Amino acid sequence: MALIVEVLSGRQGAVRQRLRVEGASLSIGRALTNALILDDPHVDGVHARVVRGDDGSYHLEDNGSVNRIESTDGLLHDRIAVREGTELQLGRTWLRFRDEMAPVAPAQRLPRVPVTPARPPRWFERPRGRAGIIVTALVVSIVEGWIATPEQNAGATIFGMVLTIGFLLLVWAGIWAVAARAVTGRFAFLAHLAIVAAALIAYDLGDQVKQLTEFLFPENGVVPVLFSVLMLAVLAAVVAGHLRYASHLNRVSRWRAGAAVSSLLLALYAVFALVDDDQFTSNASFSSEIRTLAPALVPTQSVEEFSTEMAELRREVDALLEQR
Amino acid sequence: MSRVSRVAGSACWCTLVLSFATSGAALRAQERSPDGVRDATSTVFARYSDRILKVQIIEVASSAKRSIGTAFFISPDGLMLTNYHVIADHIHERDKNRVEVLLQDGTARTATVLAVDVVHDLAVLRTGLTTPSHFVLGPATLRQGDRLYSLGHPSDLGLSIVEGTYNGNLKHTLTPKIHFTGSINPGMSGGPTITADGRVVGVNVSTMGEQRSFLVPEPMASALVTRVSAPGFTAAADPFTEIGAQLHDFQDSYLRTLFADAPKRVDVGPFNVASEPSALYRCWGGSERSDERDETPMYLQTWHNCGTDDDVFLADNQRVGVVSVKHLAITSARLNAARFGVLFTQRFGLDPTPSGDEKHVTVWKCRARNVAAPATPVRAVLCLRALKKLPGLYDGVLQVAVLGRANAGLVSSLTLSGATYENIDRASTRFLGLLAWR
Repeated sequence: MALIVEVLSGRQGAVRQRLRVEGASLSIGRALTNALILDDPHVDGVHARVVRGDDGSYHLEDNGSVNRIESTDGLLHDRIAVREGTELQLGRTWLRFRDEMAPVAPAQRLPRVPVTPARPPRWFERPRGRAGIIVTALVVSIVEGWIATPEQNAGATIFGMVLTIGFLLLVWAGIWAVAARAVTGRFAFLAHLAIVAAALIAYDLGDQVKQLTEFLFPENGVVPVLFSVLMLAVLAAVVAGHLRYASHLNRVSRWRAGAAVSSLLLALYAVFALVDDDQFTSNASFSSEIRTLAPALVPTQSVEEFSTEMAELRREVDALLEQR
Repeated sequence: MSRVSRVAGSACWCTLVLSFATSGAALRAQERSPDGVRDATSTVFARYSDRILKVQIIEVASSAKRSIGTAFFISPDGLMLTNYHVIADHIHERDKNRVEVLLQDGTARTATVLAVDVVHDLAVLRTGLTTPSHFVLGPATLRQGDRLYSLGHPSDLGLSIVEGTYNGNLKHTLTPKIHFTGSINPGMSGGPTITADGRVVGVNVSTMGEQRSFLVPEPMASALVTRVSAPGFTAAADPFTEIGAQLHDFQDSYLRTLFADAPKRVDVGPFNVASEPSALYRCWGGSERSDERDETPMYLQTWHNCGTDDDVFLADNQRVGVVSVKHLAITSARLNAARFGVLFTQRFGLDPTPSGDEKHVTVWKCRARNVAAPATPVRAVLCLRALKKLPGLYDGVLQVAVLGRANAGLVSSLTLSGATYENIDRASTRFLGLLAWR
């Protein structure tokens, strides 16, 4: 093993200087001839020497100094064994001896979030990839419009619907592009259009899944909550995505901004829900989603179970009477 | 069918103008008819008009009338008969509305309501005044075509007499109603329709316009008057206890057995469904293509709706006693499964529930489930609301979509109003068992 001598600023203080003991001995003192020079008036010219024994152990030997060697328990020594962690005082100077092979504690994690440079997927950086998303959104809109219009001559309706959606997307992307030009000097219009088109695809697919689930498991409280959470996440992603091309913010800040916008929307919704004072209506609202699936795929309950649910409904209605 | 009381304000000018024009034409027609007819009518009027009163609902706050109707004396101690719907505003808001009767000489007296028969739309009033003349209720033998005279205060124009003919009882009503071919108009509600010799045939109650008018038959009135005249009779402290009990018995009389034993079944499109629940119900149907000009249309809709011709008046905008059965079959040879699903969803999503007033009903609460009905899987939705003033009575609507095919579907609904939960539950369960594919 090799020994390291640490010069401390006061007992158990910070390390001012470190010196590796090379060879068989190392002299310590105030004189400039020493291997370790201590600027301490209470230290002798050559105060002491670190000596390595044949077995590899080390000792500190006093060189007939005025103040000798003092250990942590206050005793004075002429020769004392030193190993990992030994602390000794020469004059007013504290030394600590370290074994270079002694294990070290694992590094502490820094309390800050690591900042990594973010790049969108390679394919998204190419115009062809962006155009692909925009075309996909267009196709999804047309197919959805076609399904949602089970009437004669649905073409005009679908065309109008797609035109409206397309126009809204163009305006939205345009606003972001202008903002991006003001901040970063680049429009990146296609990127903004692709981002909002991707959001449209996500919304449409999410909505289809939601409706199907609503049919299979009607009035299941989890479905609308999941859908809302998903849509808020999409919104946060859209804002973060736009900011990638319209600001100099790093990725963390962009997602924070997106989350802030989603939270704001959620808060507004909560406020409206609280303000809404249960206006009387004689209209009934119920889950009317129907999908033409094979009967084997549709989970059903028995008439008796439905009857039990009706009884629960009655209690719900009776509770309304008691509220008055 | 519209009720015949309520006239107030200027909203009725078109009705008034029309009624003037009609009476003018009638007058000219009569000038050409034998003198005897006019003599008979004027004699009837002269003989019986002093037994007729005008009923006014006075709004206490404004001291002005908000609606009018007619009543008539039926006993020497001054009992008067009118329609429940004439005085319903007073029943519902006693502190706000007062019942006032006006005698032929213009004397106004405040009247109290002794008893009501909400099912047959009748009420008995009293002011404390006695009367020198009154109608005597009792059975009358009539043949279709017999001439009758209806008395009342149409549109607050003064006491009038209307001639018409007896056409027997309606066949498709839950409560018996006489079909009177004569012009009963708003304001004549609660007035009597009598024979030339002064026998009360019925009480004016409603009209469909164009001489199609309806009367509550005399036996219903007699039953109520007998109850009020019986010794020891006391008016109910809370009118809604009385009304609630009447409606409980009434709905039980026709709902307990609804769809009970082998109800009539019909084919509607590719489905086999329940039709007329009993002979009282009448069904109408039809079918239409999504585009009438197209030989191979997107889809075909076939509907089959059954109901009775009447309902029970509870308040101005609240009816009970409704039973209706509706079926809508949709078939398509051209739509794929996804597009047909959207069409099916659109038709199923149409709100089947009757309207209502916050004063009388709670909001609807609905429950939707996929149910394995005996013959086919269905999507079933039950919507329920309670009648606020009548504990134990509800409005219920069961809406069902028959599932199973990618290009055909059925939307059926059963609407019951003013029914007990047990009857709604029972009828709904039976209804679910009556939906099938052909």
